[in-house]
Amino acid sequence: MARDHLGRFEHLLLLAVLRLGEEDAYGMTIRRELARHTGREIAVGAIYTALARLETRGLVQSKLGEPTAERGGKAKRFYRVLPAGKKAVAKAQSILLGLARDVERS
Amino acid sequence: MTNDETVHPPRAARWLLRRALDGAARSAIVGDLDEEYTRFVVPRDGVRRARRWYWRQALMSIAACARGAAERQLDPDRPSLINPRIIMQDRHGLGTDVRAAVRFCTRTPLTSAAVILTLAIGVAANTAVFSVLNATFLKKLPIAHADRLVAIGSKPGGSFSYPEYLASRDVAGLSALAAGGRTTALLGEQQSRRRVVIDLVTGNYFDALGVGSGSGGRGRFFTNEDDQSGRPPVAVVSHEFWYRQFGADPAIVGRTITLNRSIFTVIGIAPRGFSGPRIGFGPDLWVPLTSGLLIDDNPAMLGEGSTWLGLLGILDRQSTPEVARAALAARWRALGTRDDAVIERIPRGHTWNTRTSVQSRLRLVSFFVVLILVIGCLNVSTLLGAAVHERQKELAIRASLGAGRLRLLRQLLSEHFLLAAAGGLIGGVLGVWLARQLASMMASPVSPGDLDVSADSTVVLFTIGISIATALLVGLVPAVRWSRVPIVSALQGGSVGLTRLLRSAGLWWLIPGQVALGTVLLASAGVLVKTVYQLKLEIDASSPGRVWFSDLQSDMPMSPASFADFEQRLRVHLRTMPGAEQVGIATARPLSSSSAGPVRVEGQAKPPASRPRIPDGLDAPPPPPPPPKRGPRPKDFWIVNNTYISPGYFGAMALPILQGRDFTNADTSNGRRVAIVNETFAKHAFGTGTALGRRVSWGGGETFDIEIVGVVADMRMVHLRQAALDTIFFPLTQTPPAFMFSPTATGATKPIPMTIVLRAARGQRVVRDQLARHVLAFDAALFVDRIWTFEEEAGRALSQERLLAWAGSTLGAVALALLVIGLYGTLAAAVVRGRRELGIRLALGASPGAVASMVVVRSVTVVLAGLALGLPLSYVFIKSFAHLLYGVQPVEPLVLAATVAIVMATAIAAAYFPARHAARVDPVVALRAD
Repeated sequence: MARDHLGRFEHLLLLAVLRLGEEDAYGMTIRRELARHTGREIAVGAIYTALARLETRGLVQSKLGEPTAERGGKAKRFYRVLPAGKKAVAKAQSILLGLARDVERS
Repeated sequence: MTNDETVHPPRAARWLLRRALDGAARSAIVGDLDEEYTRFVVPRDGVRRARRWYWRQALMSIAACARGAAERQLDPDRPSLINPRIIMQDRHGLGTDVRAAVRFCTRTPLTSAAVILTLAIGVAANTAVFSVLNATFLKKLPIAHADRLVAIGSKPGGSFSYPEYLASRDVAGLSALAAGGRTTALLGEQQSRRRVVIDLVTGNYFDALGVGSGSGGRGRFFTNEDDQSGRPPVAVVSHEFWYRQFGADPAIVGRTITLNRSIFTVIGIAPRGFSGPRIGFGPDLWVPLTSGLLIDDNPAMLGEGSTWLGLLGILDRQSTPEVARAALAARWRALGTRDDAVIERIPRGHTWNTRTSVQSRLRLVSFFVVLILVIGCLNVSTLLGAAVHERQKELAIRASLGAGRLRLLRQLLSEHFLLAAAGGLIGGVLGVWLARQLASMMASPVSPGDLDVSADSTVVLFTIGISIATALLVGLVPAVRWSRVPIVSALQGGSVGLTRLLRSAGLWWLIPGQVALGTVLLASAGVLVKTVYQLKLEIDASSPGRVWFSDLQSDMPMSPASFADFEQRLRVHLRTMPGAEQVGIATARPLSSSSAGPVRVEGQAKPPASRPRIPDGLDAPPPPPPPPKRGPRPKDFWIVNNTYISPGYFGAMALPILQGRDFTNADTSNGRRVAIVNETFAKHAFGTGTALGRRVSWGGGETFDIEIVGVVADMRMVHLRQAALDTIFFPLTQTPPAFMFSPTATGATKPIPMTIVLRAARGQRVVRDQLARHVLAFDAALFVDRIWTFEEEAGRALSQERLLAWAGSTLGAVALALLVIGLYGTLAAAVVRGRRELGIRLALGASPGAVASMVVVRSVTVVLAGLALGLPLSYVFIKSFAHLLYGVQPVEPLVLAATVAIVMATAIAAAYFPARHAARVDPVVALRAD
């Protein structure tokens, strides 16, 4: 498996993190963003599992935010897409686009 | 604060998350879920659905993390979010244990099935009974703000007039104040009319109890606009009634119904399980208060003089009952109507009057199901012990290959837990289903059937709890015992002697324990069955035969003056019915209602002591609204039962007049006041002297103005389990108008419901429809609500007893079946394992009969030991519910003999096949086998 290969879910996940931007991408917002676009309830646990995998592969980076009261004093874990991640997304996008173009033509 | 409980995410789910997930991921995930739950999901979906969302998220998240952890096994560089303690970090993880357990359980399908089935039965019985207990005593009312709901009363009296309600709204301390009162009306027209129970409620009632568009149900509910005079009349039907009356047709919303000749539009169906603030006493329909005028046709009902409304308040979140009480009291003192307010929190579990027999029956059934679970546990222990014994060799091999004791223990425990989990799961599902059956069987006559026994988290936790407890109980002992394997002797395949096997732990204490508890169950079931039988005999003996009773309701406005004429004409009319022989009318129904009052006898300074009307509240109807206080009762009164009856009543009931005369049409309200007493009364009051001509006072009157003109034979049974009480009869036409004509709190003047007693001529069958038609032909404003025979009424009253006896005998049968399984399993295993000894004995000349009897004798001895323990136990146990028995002593020779015979027969039956097997062992084969 290539180091920068992205699964479908990982691909969606990275796009969601990119869309939300560094200031706003943490578990809940990412989950809602994905749920909104895919129309499916996604387990927040699944998101963290995938993000943790992406983090060990060096595609994203996380940092802890400030704990807030409405989260019962739990800190947010913010995610940021690293350059390697952006490159992987771009590659996945181009593969998809290439494939889609062929389909459209036929 | 408990109020916030609804806003908080479900605790159990959070606990689970915290346990299952690892450090950093845990706080991030829980934080995310909490935030989304409070900020988005609750406002969008409401608390109920939000809680469900949270649970789904929690479980899915744990599953996702667990999958992640599994991938990590393949690729150790992967991160894991799962709590490492959950997954055992050694080579033989939990998965290995579980796989091994599944393999073992499927390899011995018979034992596994027996264990699972036994546990499932025990868990199902307990879950079912717990569901009923939960719905009755533990569940929160199925309404919002249940913990802030208060009933508002006052000093003096707890009922309010409509103007008082209007003046009490918007007081400090209450966030809402609603009012309601109950009435009945006829639904439908002509022949198909039926009486329905209606709660007239204020427009904010549903809103205050948190019933809105988001809380289930269909259509819409009342608004304050609906509750204004001149608005089109509307109604909301209960979920239960929607099912019963309208066949759950959703199109009923928007249709019209006729209530007492007025047309109402059905605008909504209440959510399932909603029955107002009192579970189990919900009405069929709700109608806005001001539309009540169309039902009760009594303009005064909304005036100052009619105090008939009950008030319900929702406390302010930040307030206490004390604040509301002070505010209400101040308001009422200003009005000049009342001195003080009384605020009571409406507790959970007040479905039934806690002093009724229902509670003691429920307690008894709970004991039964606990017994059956313990018996099941003993049984499973026996089976598992035997199964593990079988595997000694396998365990010894594993031990010699280096498996530590802990390793073996873990394997055995996971097998047992797997079985327990399967049993618990099946039992839980079965129990939820059983609870529903139980609730519908309990539906009459003490409580309506709208008890919501559906499983909530309490029931689920309970079921999981008992499953785990069971698993520990049955799994731990054999597992600990067998995890220490004597390697050498086990590997040498030493077949243990039969004699030693027959003295194994199972036979020493597990089976006798099972027998003892089973005896308790069987003996209890026996006395309960005998109780039902005795009651049935009593009912048959008491039945007047050929008699129909019917509840007569009247819509006719009637003055007391015209009542005598009406009553006489009605009787004459009924007598003309083909097949009718005798007709009487009364104000009470035998077996199901009673009223009583104080009597004083002229010339008698000290009357006999009063006796309670119904012993210990047995079979009492649901508690009536609290009666108005009449002040302290003087001691020289004598409380006796009373009934108002027409001439012909005794004839119809086949009760002979022993002395004096029956009432006649001449005993009217203008005539001399007269009374007839029953035999018991006459004996108590006058001993051997005559009752005729003696004078009494009634209802606390000072003058002795009532003359006794007759003595009538006792009715054998006035209530189930209750022989004749002191009873005094008055002529129907001399009924005080205040009693006869003020039945509803709204003050409408129509006669109270009466009971027609109609005796059919010998050989004539009077059919129900005929009677109903005949009454309707007399006057269209009359309505026969219900027609029944004595036996039917008695059968209804008997249904609770039957249910209890049924539960006892079913569980007793289950206990017997378990006993057979356990005993057979143990003996059969002993015979198989001890066949070398059997072979030697047979080879040395023992007769097959002697070998067989060895097995049978052992079985019988064990069972006798159990009986010796069980019989005294059952005496103590039965003694504790002796008040539920009738015509049976706690030590009933017949029941005891039957119990002993059944248990012994079971012991012999269970020993039959193993004994036969033992006798047929071929010495050559048996000796060569090792």
